[in-house]
This record gives sequence, C-alpha cells and structure tokens, in this order.
Amino acid sequence: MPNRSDIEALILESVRTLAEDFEIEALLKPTAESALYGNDGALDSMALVNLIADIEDAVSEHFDASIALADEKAMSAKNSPYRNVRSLTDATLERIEA
Amino acid sequence: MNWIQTKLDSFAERIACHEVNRTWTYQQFTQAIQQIQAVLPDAPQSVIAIQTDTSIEGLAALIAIADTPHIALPLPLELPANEQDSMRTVAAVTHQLTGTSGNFQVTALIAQKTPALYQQLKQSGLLLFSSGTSGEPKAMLHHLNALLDRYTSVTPRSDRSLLLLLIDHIGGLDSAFRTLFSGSTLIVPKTRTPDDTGAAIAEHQVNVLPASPTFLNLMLLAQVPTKYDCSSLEIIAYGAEAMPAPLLQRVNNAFPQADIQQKFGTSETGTVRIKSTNKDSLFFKIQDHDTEWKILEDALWLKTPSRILGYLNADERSLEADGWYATGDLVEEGEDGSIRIIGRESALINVGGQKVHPAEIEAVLHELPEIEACSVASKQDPITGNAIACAIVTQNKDDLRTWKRRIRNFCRGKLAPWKIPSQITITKELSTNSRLKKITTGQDHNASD
Repeated sequence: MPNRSDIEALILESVRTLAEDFEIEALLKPTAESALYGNDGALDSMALVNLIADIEDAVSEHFDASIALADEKAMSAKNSPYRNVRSLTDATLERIEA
Repeated sequence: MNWIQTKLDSFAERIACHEVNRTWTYQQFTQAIQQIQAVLPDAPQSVIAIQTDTSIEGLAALIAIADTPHIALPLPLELPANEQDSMRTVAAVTHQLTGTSGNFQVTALIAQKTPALYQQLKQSGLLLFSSGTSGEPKAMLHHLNALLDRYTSVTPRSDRSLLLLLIDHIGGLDSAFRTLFSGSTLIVPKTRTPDDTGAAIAEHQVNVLPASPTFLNLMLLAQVPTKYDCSSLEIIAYGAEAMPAPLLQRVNNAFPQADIQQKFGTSETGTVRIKSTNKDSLFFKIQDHDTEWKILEDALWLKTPSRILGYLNADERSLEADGWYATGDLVEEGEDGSIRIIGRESALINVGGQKVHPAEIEAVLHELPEIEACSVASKQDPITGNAIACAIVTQNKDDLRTWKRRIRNFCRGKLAPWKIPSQITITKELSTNSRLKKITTGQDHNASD
C-alpha cells in the first residue's frame, strides 16, 4: 500500500508534466499548496479532465489500483477535491484505500 | 425484366465470375437464374431468405425474384448466426432458398406476422439491413426493380472487379450489378482477408478494387502491395466510412498506377454517382442525373428514384414524404459545388457544450507516423459531460504515459483544447465488422456506403 508521500510525489509529477504539455506557467514547479481548479487554480476544465485521467493512469501503473477520481462523490463534495495538490492527494489516497 | 435478359444474353460466353475455384460464364449465370425461377413459390407475396452457396448464385436469386411479387432478403452464410437469426425474425421470413446450381431448394418456414409495410409494395422487394456498428441494425425495404433499373444504361466494359462486400450491403450490390450489367468479371476472394484479397488480385489481374478505408489500411499493414503483384489495379474505389487524408496519401503511394476514386451512397437511397475533385482530395461533386441533393444545417439530403419505402424496425423521421432522405452525414462545402463528408451527425461528441467530430481528431492522429490505426469515441465524464477517448494501434513499444504526452503535444496547435484526447488506450488491433468497417462505440451506424 502506497503511503501519502508516494501519492503526493506521483500527483506532483503528473501536475508538472501536464503543465509542460499545456504550457501552464503557474504549475511548472508545483507544491502541495499549488491551487489547481477553482478560486485561483490555474487549470481550466479541459486541463482538469486531462490531469484526472493522467493521475488515474499513473495510479494504475505504479500501484496497480484502478480508481475513479471524477465520481459523484467528488462532484458533490462540499470542499472540492480538485482545489489543490493536497486535497487531490487526500482524495486519491482515500480511493486507493477504499 | 427484359433489359436484364437482353444484356445477359448478349454477354453469353464472357466470364461473369470467378468464385471458389469455379468459373461462371454469363450463360451459366443465366441458367442459374432460370433454375431459381423454377423453384420459387407462386404468388402471393413471400419473404425469401437467400442463402445460396456462393455470392454469384445469390445475385442470380435477386434477379430471379425481381420478376415476382416476392421480397428478397440476402442472408450470406458468412454472417454470424445470431445476426442471421435476428434478421430473419425482423423480416418475418417465410421461405429459404439454399443450395447451388443444379440443386437449388426452397423451404417453407412457419408463417409469421407480416409487417404492415409489405402491403405498400407493388412489385418485388429487397430487404437490406444497415451495417450497425452498435445497436440493432435497421431493416430497410427497397423496390427491387427501382434499384435494378438504375443500371439500365451501364455501358459494356471488360473489367475484372473484386467483390469484398457481401451482397447484403448496398455497396456490395452496387459493385456486383455494375460489374455484371457491363459484361465484366466479378472476382470473389476465398476469404475476405487482406492476404486472400492480394492473392485474388494477382491471380485474376483484378483492375477494379472497391474497399473501405479500414480494409485498405489493413491491406497496407499486411504488406499486400509488396507481397502480391497488384500492378493490374487501375481503379481503387473507397467508400462506406471517412477516409483519413494521410491514409489516402499512403494508398496513393502504395498503388501508384491506380486511380483512387471515392464512392458515395447510402443504404436508403442506393449509390450516387460522384466525381472526386482530384486523386488526393476528399472533396467530390455529385454527378448523377438521377439524384437531387441539398444541404440543410450542414447535413446532406438526397433524393433518388431508388429510395427505400421505409424501415421495418425504426422510426422514419429521416424519410420525407416527398422522397427526400436526411443522410445524417455532415458535410463541408468546397469550391464549385464540391462537398466533403466530415462525419456523422450522431457521432458528434459534446464536450462541455463544444461539438467534436471524431473523424477530425482521427485525421490529426493519423499524421503521427507511428500510429497505424486509431478510433476516437466519447467517454462519459462527470466534469465535461463527455471526454474524448482514443484507442491506437502501434508497433512502437513506448509506455502509455509517453504515448499520451506525444499525442497531447502533437495535437496542441492542431486541435482546439477540448478536442485533444484525454484518455488513450493502446490496443493490438481495431475490430472491423462484417462490412469491413471499423467498429466504433457510443455512436449509431453509418449508413453511408
């Protein structure tokens, strides 16, 4: 079972490559506090869809787990899991452990 | 029908067909028609499933039935058994024609409830099923005579034309009738694989090859042009689905001596004669004195004398009372009245309110030299409603992540952000259906020929 820092590292790497591919300046050097979607987040909805697919694929590849990050639970959560890297890490960990 | 008999008689000793190691002269073909006429049931109207041993005998059966009040349902033995069963049921088949020359048999089946549409038929009918790539195929009722009458003015030729599509498909029937009513020779390959096709081209010096873009791609992947002598090919006629521009280029390069022509038509209207703007272009002009056409809200409408009477199992919204048919094909208008098919109205993917044509994305992906084949489809996504998913076939062993980034970077600048696939899968091969078209998911059939 991966620990929290494994997951965070994987998400940071996914965010960084996405930022390179989509030329998103603000996320080229992401940290746990980097805002992703909504408020001051640098992602638009298409970039978010891509990031989620990337993380799902990476989790499947590295941890042999099949998860869905864009599900009803995520959509209806009071605090969106897509706010920043930290919240997305929590959501990912929660789904791997489920 | 008199004009058919006159034509066939005039070709007497010419070769009508090579099929399963057997050669048929036009005289033998005419004899098969007469033998079938002799075993057909008397009036009233019957629905006859055609299950002869060979395609050429199936064609003889269609011509035999044209002079009767019956309805023909071509049901090639190659079709999967469950498809055959559901087609029989929808058509309410009453008789079955089986066997081969010298031994044709008609068997009566248990009568079923006759579809109301059959009462509208004044003469012989023909049932064709749309090539459903998903969902239940639609059963379409044609006036068999109206369809055949479109070939009265075919001028005599001496082509050797390959039959890849079966005779349950408007495209297969068009190739076959055009070949036979011009006194040319039909070549049926042993099986419909790229290799058997290549072997048949070499053995019979085939000069006309009608094929779907998917099948042409498979032929190139199987290296047919280098393995078999294809130098006899003069015309390659493609149709039935969208042709990606890079594939057209590769086909042109692989068969430099051949004229690459686009064909067009729908199961609902029959084939429409067109002329490609040039060899490298996907634009064409409709040049058919039988056909009227118009474009409404980017979609193509056709009116031909051989339109179907209706569907047995589908709503008829696309069929106007005055004879027009809404093809559901979206087109782009070029110069001088030329048009190009962009894709199916129903295949449009709505990504967060933006409309996306799968074919447009596939065309861009095909420009990546290492992608041998690809298929774009919609995938449900809670954020944007739908997302773009894409399956690719490649020999390149890079991992998924590398491929994803390669595709993303390649598409940026060429496609709007919402059109760039967010989901990629690498597969060994894309499946083709029994009409040799690519199987897609999440979209309805493409009726276009």
